[in-house]
Amino acid sequence: MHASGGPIRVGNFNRTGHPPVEEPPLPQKSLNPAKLGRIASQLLFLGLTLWTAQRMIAGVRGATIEKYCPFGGVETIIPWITKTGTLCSLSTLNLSMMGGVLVITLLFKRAFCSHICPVGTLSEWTAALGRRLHWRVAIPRGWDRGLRWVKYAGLIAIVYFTFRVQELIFREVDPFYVLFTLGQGHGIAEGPIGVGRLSLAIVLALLLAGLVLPLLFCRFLCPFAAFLTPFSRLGLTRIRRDETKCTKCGRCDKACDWKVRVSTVRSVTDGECSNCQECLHACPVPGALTLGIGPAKTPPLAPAPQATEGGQP
Amino acid sequence: MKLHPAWLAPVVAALFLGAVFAGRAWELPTMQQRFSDTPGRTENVDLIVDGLRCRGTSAFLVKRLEGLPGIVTLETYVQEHRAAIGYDPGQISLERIQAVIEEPVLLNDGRRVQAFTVTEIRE
Repeated sequence: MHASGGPIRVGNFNRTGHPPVEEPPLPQKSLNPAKLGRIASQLLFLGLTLWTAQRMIAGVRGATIEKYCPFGGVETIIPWITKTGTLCSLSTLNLSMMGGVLVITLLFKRAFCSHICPVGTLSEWTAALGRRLHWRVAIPRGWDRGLRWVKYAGLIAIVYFTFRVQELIFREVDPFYVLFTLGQGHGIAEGPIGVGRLSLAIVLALLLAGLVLPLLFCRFLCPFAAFLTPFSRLGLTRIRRDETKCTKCGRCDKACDWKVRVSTVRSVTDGECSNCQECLHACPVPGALTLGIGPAKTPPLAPAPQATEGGQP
Repeated sequence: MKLHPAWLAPVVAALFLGAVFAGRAWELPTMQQRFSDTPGRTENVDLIVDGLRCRGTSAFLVKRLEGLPGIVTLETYVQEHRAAIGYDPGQISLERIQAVIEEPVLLNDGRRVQAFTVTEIRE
């Protein structure tokens, strides 16, 4: 039983550490055009992938799923430059797609991940399911930041060994390839008995781990994400936070499956941000979060003491 | 400058589809021919080669033929298993070209395997 005089603190303290504030009501849950557009884009590319995959499984000549993988461009760029030939089952189409995704990334950060990538779409749905089932596990922020670096090691290893072996070594554990061919693609099914099933098991385990740790593959392991993140940091279109309107309720941080910090910055520069705009949809204050091109224009609320006078006209 | 969030998805999707279509268009044989220069005085022959099935095998075939005197142009179309060869009949015969293509490969374990077989010759 509680002692009589002691105050019982019912926490209205949020994770940003700011004093409790009157929380404005949540915006009405409706499908706004931005959300609908993103879902439509995801469904379009997921549908195209499934269509190509079923044509490949049915044995239509020339229909392979690797052909439409922009990461193939990253794998084949060194062979293409040095030996004037792309790897088996890849072509200049992969390079062209890689170029397109680079342009998208420089303009809109990692929008490829949240609008086009079918693996990203499936991961996102898994993450949403995990959120609804309350299966999520919170890991310390430092761990979360540290694990992000794993994917860079993967990228370097894949690019190097693919070049040395002249074969797509990542294909056996590539969720895009294994999932959509159901472990039946060539180079997988032809291996020793069970390899196809092992690949499928690994990839499904990675996907299902996303129920507990949202976007586990995309954030920590995806080599294409590793390739894009440095460019994404330079991305022109960013989420901006107007400090004069923001109530620091922290809903944007909670809404972000990518674990990007929105509530403490004026302009989201983090390379992991995929411009999925979930923070924007979660924000209860109209105009506090906006999508803008270039750095934030609004002045900071309380300038830091070290800030030099007249730094920005 | 502010951007309405609803613009993002269509622009991103259009950029990506544009890259896909550009890549597909570049692979069309007409585009490939336009950007490869073909001199006038040559005999042209199309060989349907069994074993020519991807970029790797294509590179292998090209490597075999590239150094030969008399080979003027060389294009491979892996989807049709076709090698389009322009050659100078004064320097090299069609039989010699076929023999070079069909020459067996020596594997690491000592076996000799024929990598390519010319199944059809279209003059």
